[in-house]
Amino acid sequence: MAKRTTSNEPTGDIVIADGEPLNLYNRYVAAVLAWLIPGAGHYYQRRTFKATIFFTSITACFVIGLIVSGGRCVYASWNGIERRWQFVLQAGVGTPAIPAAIQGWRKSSNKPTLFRGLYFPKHEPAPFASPDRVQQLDDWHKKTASGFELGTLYTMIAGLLNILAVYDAFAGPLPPPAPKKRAKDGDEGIDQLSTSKE
Amino acid sequence: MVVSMSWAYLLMYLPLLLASSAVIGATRFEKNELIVREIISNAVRITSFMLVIYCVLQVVSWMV
Repeated sequence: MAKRTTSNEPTGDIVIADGEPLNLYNRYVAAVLAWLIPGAGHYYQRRTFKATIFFTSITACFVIGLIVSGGRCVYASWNGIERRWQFVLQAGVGTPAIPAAIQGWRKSSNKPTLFRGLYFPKHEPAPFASPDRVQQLDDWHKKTASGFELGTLYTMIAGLLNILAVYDAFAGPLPPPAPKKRAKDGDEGIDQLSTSKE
Repeated sequence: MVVSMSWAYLLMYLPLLLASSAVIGATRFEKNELIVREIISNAVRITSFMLVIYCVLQVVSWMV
């Protein structure tokens, strides 16, 4: 984590990154925004280059995953049909995780899922809803060949990458890995390394 | 025998490579030029690692 300095200024938290002070504004707001939309927290902190990188790469990864799986790979389910542990990792990208969690909660409490028939046919589960039967899950796998698995992988990786982005919005950049010699010297060695990289 | 893979699967590797090296690179530094340098070195490192795995698989396939 970048070295943190305390600041009494109302502008926000200041950390030292690449040898220069970096204003994180309200780090909690930034972290929540970064979780909801990749790059939004960095945009709020006026780190536009990073915001562009995070938004483009994470969103592209997530959208490609959704496309190759036929829009089916993101849903929350913990029942006899499927224990969808992958959703925990997919939830690293907040925006699609919220509707999936709502659909999962409605389904588990025997309420009708939202938006049924909106994008998929009415006899199929609604968007971000889990399959109704094991046969349906098999059909999704069959229809997309390996697309369902690939899409799950892509969306899981997008979620994990966004967790890194959330951390960056909250605490500033991670330190570069220190060589073994300097790692023994502790933080001082890491600081010297980061200044020498400039 | 040569270990082969369809081009479609190889293309699926590109977005993952770009996304992971870009995000990991961007979380390491704050200055733009350092970020770009880190992204490129990450991409090269990951690709080299994949090539090493490919070579190992190739050797194994010759041995079997």
